[in-house]
Amino acid sequence: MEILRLPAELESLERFRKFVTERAAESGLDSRLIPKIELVLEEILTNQVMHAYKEREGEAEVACFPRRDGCFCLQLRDWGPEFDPLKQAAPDTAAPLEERRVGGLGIHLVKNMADHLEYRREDGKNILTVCFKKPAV
Amino acid sequence: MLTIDESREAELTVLQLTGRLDAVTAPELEQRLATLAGDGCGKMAVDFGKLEMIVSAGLRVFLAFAKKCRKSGIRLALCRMQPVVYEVFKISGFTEILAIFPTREEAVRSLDS
Repeated sequence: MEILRLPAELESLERFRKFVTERAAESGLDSRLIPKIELVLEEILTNQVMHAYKEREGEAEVACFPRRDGCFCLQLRDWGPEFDPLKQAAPDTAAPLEERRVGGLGIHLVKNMADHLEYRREDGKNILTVCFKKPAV
Repeated sequence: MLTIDESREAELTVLQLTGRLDAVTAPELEQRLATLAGDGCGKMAVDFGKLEMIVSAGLRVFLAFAKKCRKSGIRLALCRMQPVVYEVFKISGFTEILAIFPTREEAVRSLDS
């Protein structure tokens, strides 16, 4: 498992993105999946920056690993207060324009793009695992 | 990285987006759109042809701008989205509340009707 740990701030996004897309390419993942993986990574990291640490500084860690069934998985960890993004209320994606709100859209996208999502709190860490199936050829 | 190219013809403004609309670049677009709306732009087409990716921070900008357009009478049409970008709009339900067209011609024509 390869791991990258950086300060949880917007400036780290680009390095995390590069790390993950390189690992994904090495694993032989279909290149059509890469934009989806980038989106999921960025949504979760920005969520972490906003929710887990708010005004204070902290670090985030991203790990990439293959699952036995061939899925490509990411694991994102932070040391902020307990926060389960999967419990965020789903946005109303059918409301008319005037009533439409943006809260929760990021995690809604993550849920739709990923094939498997799991949150757990362990040793003072928020751990979110996200897996993507390799598309059938 | 995001590049915003702008062209104007009478009251029509066309914005061409190139690159990525993410948490880092979304504020740049937000500011540009606010300036254009403040300048009294009447019709706007946004060409997504060279936009590789959009995340929720980018959707947020378009939602806020579409609301502003509705209030101030600006006509807005989006066009030429790549499949992954269109999918993000679709999953978010934005394809129901924004005018999105396959070609720039169709987008511009819709603003005249």
